[in-house]
Order: sequence, then C-alpha cells, then structure tokens
Amino acid sequence: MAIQFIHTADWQLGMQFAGIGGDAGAALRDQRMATVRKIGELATQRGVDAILVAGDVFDDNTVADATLIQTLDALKTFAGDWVFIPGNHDAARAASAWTRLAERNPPENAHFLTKLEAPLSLLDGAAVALPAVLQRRHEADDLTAWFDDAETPEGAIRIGLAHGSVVEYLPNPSEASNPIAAGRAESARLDYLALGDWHGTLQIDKRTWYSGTPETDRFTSSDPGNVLLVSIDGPGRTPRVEPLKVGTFTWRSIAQEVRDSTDIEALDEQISSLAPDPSTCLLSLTVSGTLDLAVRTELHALLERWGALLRFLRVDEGALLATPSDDDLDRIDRTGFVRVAVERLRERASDTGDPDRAIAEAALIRLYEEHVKLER
Amino acid sequence: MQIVRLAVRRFRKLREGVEIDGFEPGLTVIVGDNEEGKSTLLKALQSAFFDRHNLTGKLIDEMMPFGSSVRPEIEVDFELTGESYLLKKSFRHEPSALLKRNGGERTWQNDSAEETLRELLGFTPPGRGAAKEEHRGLAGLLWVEQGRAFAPLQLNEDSRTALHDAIEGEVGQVLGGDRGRALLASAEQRTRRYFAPKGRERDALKSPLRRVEELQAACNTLKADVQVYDEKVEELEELQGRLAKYERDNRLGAAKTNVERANTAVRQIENLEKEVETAKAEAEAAESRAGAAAGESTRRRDLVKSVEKKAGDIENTRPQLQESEMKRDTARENYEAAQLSFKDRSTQLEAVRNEHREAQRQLERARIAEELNNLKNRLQKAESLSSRIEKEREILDGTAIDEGILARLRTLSGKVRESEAALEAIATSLIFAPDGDNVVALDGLPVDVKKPLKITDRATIQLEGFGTLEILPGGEDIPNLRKELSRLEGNLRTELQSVGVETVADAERAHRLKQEQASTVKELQGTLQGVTGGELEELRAQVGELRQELMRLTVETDNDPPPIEQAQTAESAERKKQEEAQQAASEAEQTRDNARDQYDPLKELYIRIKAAYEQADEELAEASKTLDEARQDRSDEQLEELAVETKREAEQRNKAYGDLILKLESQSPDNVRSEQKRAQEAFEQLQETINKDKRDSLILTTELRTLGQKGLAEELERKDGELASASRELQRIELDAKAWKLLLTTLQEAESEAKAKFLTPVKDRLEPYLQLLFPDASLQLDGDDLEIVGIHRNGIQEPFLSLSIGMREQIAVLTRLALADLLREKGKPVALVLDDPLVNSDPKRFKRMRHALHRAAENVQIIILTCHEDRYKTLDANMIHLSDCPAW
Repeated sequence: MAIQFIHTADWQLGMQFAGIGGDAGAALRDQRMATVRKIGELATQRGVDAILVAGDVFDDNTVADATLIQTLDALKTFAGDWVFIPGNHDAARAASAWTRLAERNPPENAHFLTKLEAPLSLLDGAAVALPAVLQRRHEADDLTAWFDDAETPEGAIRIGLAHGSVVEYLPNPSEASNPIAAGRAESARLDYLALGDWHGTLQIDKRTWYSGTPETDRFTSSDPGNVLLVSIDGPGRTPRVEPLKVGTFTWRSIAQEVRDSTDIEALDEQISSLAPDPSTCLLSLTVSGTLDLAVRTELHALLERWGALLRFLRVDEGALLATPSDDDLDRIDRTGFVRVAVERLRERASDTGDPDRAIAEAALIRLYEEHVKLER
Repeated sequence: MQIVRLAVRRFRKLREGVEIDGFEPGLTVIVGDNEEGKSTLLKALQSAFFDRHNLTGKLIDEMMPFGSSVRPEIEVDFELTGESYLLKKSFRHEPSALLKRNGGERTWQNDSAEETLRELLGFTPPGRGAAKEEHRGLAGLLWVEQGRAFAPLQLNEDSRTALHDAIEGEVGQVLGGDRGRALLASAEQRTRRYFAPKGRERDALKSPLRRVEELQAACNTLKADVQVYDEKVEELEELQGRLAKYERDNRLGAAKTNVERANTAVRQIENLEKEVETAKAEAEAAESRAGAAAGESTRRRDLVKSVEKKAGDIENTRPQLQESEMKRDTARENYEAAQLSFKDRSTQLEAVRNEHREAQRQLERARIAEELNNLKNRLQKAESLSSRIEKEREILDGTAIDEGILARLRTLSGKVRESEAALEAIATSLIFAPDGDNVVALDGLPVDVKKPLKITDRATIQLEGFGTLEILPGGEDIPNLRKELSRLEGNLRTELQSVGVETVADAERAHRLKQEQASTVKELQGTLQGVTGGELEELRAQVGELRQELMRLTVETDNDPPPIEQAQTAESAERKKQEEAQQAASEAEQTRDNARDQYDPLKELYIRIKAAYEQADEELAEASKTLDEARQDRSDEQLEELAVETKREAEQRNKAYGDLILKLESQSPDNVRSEQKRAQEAFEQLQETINKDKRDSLILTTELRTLGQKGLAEELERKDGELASASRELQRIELDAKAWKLLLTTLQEAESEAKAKFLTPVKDRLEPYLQLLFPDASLQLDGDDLEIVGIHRNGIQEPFLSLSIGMREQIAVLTRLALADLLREKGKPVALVLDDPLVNSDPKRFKRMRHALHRAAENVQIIILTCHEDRYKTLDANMIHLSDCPAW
C-alpha cells in the first residue's frame, strides 16, 4: 500500500525575532503561525495521508499559552494525521509544551509521540511511524538506534522520525549533541527517515531528508522555506520527494565592498535584483571599504532608501572606514579655526594608537554632515 | 586722517559762527566753558562727515539753534592719505554738500560728495534718518561723546571689518567667521543634547544606559525564572523517575507483605498469651478453692477446740462466783445499819438548828426595834424644827425691802425734802391774826392760824368774816419747783407702794425686822442639821426602812419584840445545843461512809464475776450451735477430704500454667512485636515517601504549568532582543555623544586659540599703555567684537562692569588708543575725538593718562574737548580756547 505525506520540521513557533524590532518582528512572528496553516491547507489540497513534523514545533517548552492555543487551531486546516515528535527546543520533559498541549484536549488526529520507543500505526497499520523521542535537550546517545530492532507488522511501511544531527553530512551542525547515525535508514530498514533540526532543505541519502524550516528564521540558512511532499509506493520502494515552497519571507545577506560612487550604484542594483518584492525581504548588509566623506554620504542616502522599502535592513558598517579627503576638508573650511579643528580630528582619526580614533572619525563625519547642511 | 580746521555756524548751540583753525596733527585740546558749545563741535563734526545734507523733518530741527529757522552750516578741512580736503555742508534751506580735494583739484557735490566721503572713511550711512554710531564707521568707535567714555566698546559693522582687516593683515585669517560660528553653535547644540554645560550627562545619554540596565535586570530576572523552571522540571523528572522505580520494584507491595507476615506472628503470640492468661486464671481459681477448703478445715478444728475450752472454763468459774456473793451480802448489812444511825442523828441536828434560827430572829427583832425607837425620836424633833424654819422663812420672804431698796428710798426722801425746802424758801408766807375765832380755811380746810402759812400755789383762803382771799404766789421758779417736787413725791410714793409701806420710816423698820428673822432661821437650820445628821428626808427614809425590816422579821404569832438582852441570852443557849447535835451527826456519818467503802468493791467484784460467767455461758451455747449447724452441712471428715482434693487440683493447674509460660517465652514475643512495628513503620514510611513524591510531583506539575503559561522563553528572547537593540542604541548614542563632545571641544579649543592669536596685535599695542596705568594688570578681550571682558590683576579676574567708572573710562580710552594705533598702521583713516573723556579719573591716574595720550598723539591726531582747562594745561598740548576763536 502506498502512502503520501508532508515532511516538515523546525516550525519554532513562539520565536520572537527579538533582533528584529518593531513591525518587522511582529510580521515575522505572525507569519510562522500563518505558514503552519498554509502547510495544513497544502496537505488538504494535495490529499496527503499525514503530516509528519520532525521536532522543534515550538521554540521553547515555555512558550505562552496563546501560542499553544493558536497551534491547536492551526491543526484544523488538515483532517489527516498530524504526527509530532519533540525536538531539542521542545524536548518531552516532565513538564513541556507537550504536557501542556495534552491538557488542552487536542484533536484526535494529532499524535504527540513523547514516549520512548513507542511506534505509531498509520493508515490502519499500512505504515508505522517510529519516533526518536528527545526527552531532554541534549542526548549523547543516538535515539534512533532502537529503530534497527523495532518490530513492525509485515508489509507495513516503516517511517522513522528523528530530530538531531547526521554529523557527517552537516557542514556546520547546529547542535553537536543528539547524534543520528548516517546509515540509520538502511540499518533500520526504514522506507523514509524524516529529520528535523537543520533549517535548510537537505537530502542525506535517498531515504533520509531534512525538510528544513517552512518559514525562514535566520540569514544563515541555505534553502529554507520548504516542506517535503513524500510519496512511497510501498514497502522497500524508493520514496519520491518533492520540495514545495511555503515560506513567505526571504532572508538575504550581502557583503559588499564600496569605494566610490560606482560601487554605490552597483550595490543599489544588487539589492534591487535580490529583493524584487522588498516588503517580503529581510536583508543583512555588510559593507566594507574606505570611503571619503562625500561617498559615505551617498551610501547613507542609499541605505536610508532601502531601509524604508525592505521589510528589514540590517547594516554592518564595522569594516567601513570613512576617511575624509582633502577635498572633503576643503569643503568644510580652508582657513580659520574650523580648519584647525578639522586637521586635529583628522590627525586623531588616522592615528591607530589613539584610543579615541573612532570617536574622532565620527566627530569628523558629523562636522562634515553639518557642513553639508549649511551648504544646503 | 587729520582734521585741520572746523567752522560751524547756526548749528545747535553755536548760533553764532565760530571757526577753529590750528588743529595739530598730534594732540589738540579745545577748552570751552559749560554751555559754550564745545560738545556741539563734536556733533558738528559727526553731522559734517556722516549726516546726509538733505536730512529733513524732526532730525534737522534738532540741528537748529533753539527758536531759529536758519540754515546750519559746517566746514571741515582735513587731510587723508596725503590729500587735503575741504568739506562743506549746509542743511535745511537749500541743503548742500561739497567736497573739494587739494583746493579744487577735484570737487564732489551733494550725494556724490557724500558717496566719496563714504568711500574715503569706510562707513555705511543709514537708509534714512540721522546717522548713529553704527553708521559712522571707525568714528563710531573713536569719537566719544561726553559721558560715554566709561561705556564698553561697541564695534559697528564697518569698524569691525576695518579692525579684522587690520588684525588679519598681521596674523592672517584665524577666525572662522559666520561659518565657524554656525558650526560651533551647531556642535554646541548637538553636544548639549547629551551634556549640560558643566559636563553633567543629560537624559538623552543617561536614559539609554538606564534602559540597558533595566533590560539587563529584566533579562537576569527572566533567566533566573527560566533556571528555576528548568530546575523544577529536573526535580519533577527525578520525582517521576523515583515513583516509577517504586512502581517497578513493587517496593510498597513487598513492604506490605512484610507487615502482614509480622502481623500473623503477632497474632500467634497474642493467642498464646490468651492461653497463658486462661491457665493462670484457672490455676489461681484452683489455688483459691484449695485455700478455702484448707481454711474451712482449720476453722472446724478450731471451733471444736473452742467449744471444749469454753465448757471447761465455765466449770472452773462457778465456786468463785458463790464466794463473792457471800462476801457482798455481809458488807451490805453493815452498811445499811450505819445508814439508819446517821439518819437519826441528822434529824436531831435539824431540830436543834431550827431552835437556834428562831432565837436568832428574835434577837434581830429586838435590835431593830430599839434602833427604830431612837430614830423616831430624832425625826419628831427635826420635823418640829423644820416647821419653825418654814414659818420664819415665810415671814422673811414677805418683806421685800432689802439694802438696795432702802438706800433708793432714803435718796428719794432726801430729794423731796430738798425740793420742799427750795419751794418754801420762795413761797408766800401768810401770817394770820383773826379776829376772834374766826376761822381761816384753805381750800375748804381749816388752817392753824398760829402758824404762818406757806403758799406756793394758787390758793383760795376763806377768811371768816371777811370772805375769800385769792392768793396768787409770785416768783418765776415756783411753777418749776412745784412741778419738780410733785414729780419727786410721786416717785417716792410709787417706790414706797411697791414695797408695801407708807413711809420711809416704815421701810427702815421693816428692814431691821427682816435682818433679825434671817438670823433666827440660820440658827434653827444649824440645830436641825445637828438632829438629822444630814437631810430630814434621809432620816424619814431610814425610819421607813427600819419599819419595813421589822415587819419582815415579824410573824403573826409574834408578840412585841423582846428586850434585847433577853433575846441575846436565848440565842446563845440555842447555839450551844446546835454545836453538840452537829458533833453527833458527823460521827454517825463517818461510820456510815466506812461501811459503804467496804461494801462497794465487793459489790463490783461480784457483778463482774457474774457477768463473765454469764457471757461464757452464752458463748458456749452459741459455739455449740454453730458447730452443730456446720456438721449438719459437712462432717469433719468430709471437710478434711475436700481440702486434700482441692490442693492436688491446684498443683496440677499451676504446672499447666508454668508450661505455657515457658512456651510463650520460647517464642520471644517482644522481638515479634518489635519486628511488626518495624515492618509497619517501614511500610508507612515508604507509603508516606511515595505519597509525598506524588504530592510534590503534583505541585511541581501545577507550578510548571503555571510557569510555562507565562511564556518565559518568548519573554526572555524578546527582552534579550530588546537588550541587544538597546545596547546597540546605547553604543550608537555614546559614540554620537562622544563624537559631538569631541567635535565641540576641538572646535572650542581651536576657536579659543584663534581668538588669542587674533587679539595678539591689539594686545601688543595695548600693553605699553596699560603699563603706564596698570603695570600689574592685563586686559581680557574676547570675541570678534573685541569686547573688554575685564582685567586680570593679582591673580583675580575682575569683570569690566564691576570696575569703578574711573577705571572703566581709563581702560576704554587706552583700548581706543591702542586700536587707533593698529588701524593707523594698517592705513585706516583714524582720528580720535574725545569729549571730556577723563572726568571720573583721580589726579594721579589723570596724570598717567596724560602720558598715554601724549604717547598716542605721536602717531594719531587726538582732539580733546573739555571744560577742565587746568587738568590739561600740563599736557604740553595745543590748547585752543573756544572763546578766543574768531567768529565765522
């Protein structure tokens, strides 16, 4: 018998996006729950049998009640089985989001697999879900080990769910603990191993996938914002896996060196191409290089414009050096005490041994900006 | 610039024209008295150079001499940059301006003339109206009107420019101009957002720091809450793990089994203990029965013995009883005989006693009768005396006259006699010599004609044979004397009547009699006292009492009391008889008492023996009866058998009881019970532990649910984000604040240095002048306006405005001298005109100021207008007296 399901993970509901203040942060928070509903609607639309969520449904076990209530409400979008396992963020501890959910009369089609080595029969036994249950945030042992010896009815499709790191395959694993053996799908005769923890969509082997988070939550993930539509035609058959885009916001990072007005224009074009719809784009921009004060003013005008258009813009100017040119200084004043002050500040700003070098540079920039204002 | 000549007419005070020629290139002093118009000269110069010729209206009116409508005219000859100029200006009517250079080499007229002047002197005229200081270029600084010398220097725009040109010509462009000021102001404004002028941080800087600190604290609190939450979760997991292990190991079940096993062992012990108790009770019952049988047997034997003994005792007592009875009877007979004898004697004694008492009574009667008789005699005598005294006293009391009354009567009588004598002395004396026996009558009564008749009152005398003679006695006192006599006589009469006599002689007699009677009464009272020995009533009472006593002692059969001697003899005989009878009775009584003393013990002994005998007899009967009844119930032999039988049974029961005790002890009941207690406690403890773990687990679950609901993680993440954001903001603000502050301080330092440098040319020129007046002081100038801030001397900064007016005017003049020096050197048109500039300076300072003026005048023309000629005399200057100047 065949089965088709959606594999998703790392919803991280309740994440606050604290580094992104104001309306942008609020929009991101709201969107996560909206994306869950979107997944349910997609599952309904595709007529899948189940939705498997491989951990980190919640960003923490102490998420607010409102988050739990909204989650239960979002489950109404799909009438099939919702199968959840805990992740490192919402480990099935003695008190957890799961214990609190269980007290809120969850729907019968929601299965919270929080007990160790307790398989769940799906589709009247046509498939069996084998959960690796994290009962604490960090486990040193491979919790999928029991899959190898887990007995399932003859002819049932064996689906493993786990949350952790297949260390050998992850370039930069988010967590060093909660290990998952690389050949687990094979050793445990699994038809599919649904993994969570890695926030980008990632295939480990032909039966083992990380779905990634359905709604991007950081600038560093690669290929996030998907769920996986998994179709298994029968026991032992190779699953067909199709990533489906469900995420709303795109998170981009640009690191750009700027030296003159031409670079500013290039940067403008680059941002334009990355964010065709700036309102759904979050951009982390790192600018470096040495600018004179005139070009720096241009850069700031550019950033001011994009800051208004993008959903969120973070600029790191730490590596940007604003060095006033002679022209800059002449523009401020050629004679008189102001020029004397300018020279003194420039001297300090260029003295690498001066502890107040950055302050002197900032002072010089401000003087220049005031001068520009007076010019206007 | 040098002014050479000045001519003024019809201008303000200078109604008449005056021409002053001979201004020196150096110092010129123009002396004029008050109201002479010297200050007008300065105004004329100002108007000539700076007022437009075509001024109109009120302004031009002010130029006119008072009450005049003529045309003011001014002419000035001056030299400038090697050229000679003549300036002429007329106002009001046909106003005109004329400027000639080098005697007509070039001439400018009206507006052109004024425009040329503006270019030559570098000033900016007003759009309209009169020129003020700000319109007079350097003259606004260097020409000082009267009473203004002590005011702070004020630069107008032209003089500022001229000075800046002069200074920058020497030190270059060191100031920043408007742009510099704007940047500085902007930097200051931005810096002040963060720092107060004294460097204190403002809210704009402090509040982000506070915000970071608050968020940090909030984060710490939340982290602590999260930690508490995690610890509680761990605690809950530990509890749940422990509970699961109890469950797995069935610890409670095992403990319960232990308890039940121990309970069974204890129940067995308890059953055995009950058996022991039963056996003990049975043994004790058997012992009791055996004891009872043995006791009864013993009591039977004792009873038999007792009956036998009582029977023997009765037999032995009987002869003793009989002997005692016999002795008692003999003693009783003796006693009864003695008793009879004693009664006879007693009867006899009583009879004799009665006789004696009768004799005693008669003797008492005789004694009382005699005493009564004596008392009666005394009473009779006393009563007679008392009666006499009463009578005498009555007479005595009837006489009222005493010594006082008698004396008063005697006095009144004397006064009557005196009054009569006085009347008679002045009365009419009539001496009759009747014829025959003719009778003379007065008021109807016959008069003894042999005696002269004294007439003291109106009287009618009947003279027989004659008729009546009416006599009216004369003398003025007669009526009064007669009235007095009548009053006295009335008084005497009344007094005599009151004591019941008619005359004073009667009164004298009555008084004498009263004295005699009083003496008699006193004598009788003495006699009475002798008879009674006290009061009469007491004597009467004694008589009464004695009569009563006598009556009490007397019986009907009695005759009169016998004579006392007879009674005494009879009583003595009776007394002797009584004494003899008394002796006989006493002897009989003694005999009787002796007999009784023998009889009483024998009687007691007999009663006692008889009672013992009777009691023994009764007891024997009672014991015999008891023994008979007992034997009817159970014979002596049966009783013995029962005792043996019950004793054997008791021994058997005791043995069974002993065996059971040994059995119980062999099972160590204390240990069994201790084991049960331990097992029970272990069970309860375990149960309590499990219950507690369950309770704690429940409490923790509830707590965690509540804590979880708070969304701690979300809150913490949010706060962490806010903290990061606030920290970045703080960093940004701190950098901004520090940058602005650094910019401001750098600009201020640069400006300060620039100003110091800028002021150097001025200070260099000022220094020599200051040395002349204030060798220890340095002048503080500030800003583009060369404002005099104050002086610095003896380490103290003194603001300009706090200096004395004298010092202020000296410093202001010296500064002008220095500026004039600088300006002249740089080719500026400079001349000083000072209108009485040093009026507030003391002579010492004035003297030094003269040196300064002298020094300055070497290079610059100085014109001083003054009314204090003497002060400037020693200046060795060109002195022009206004009054000496020719008219113009």
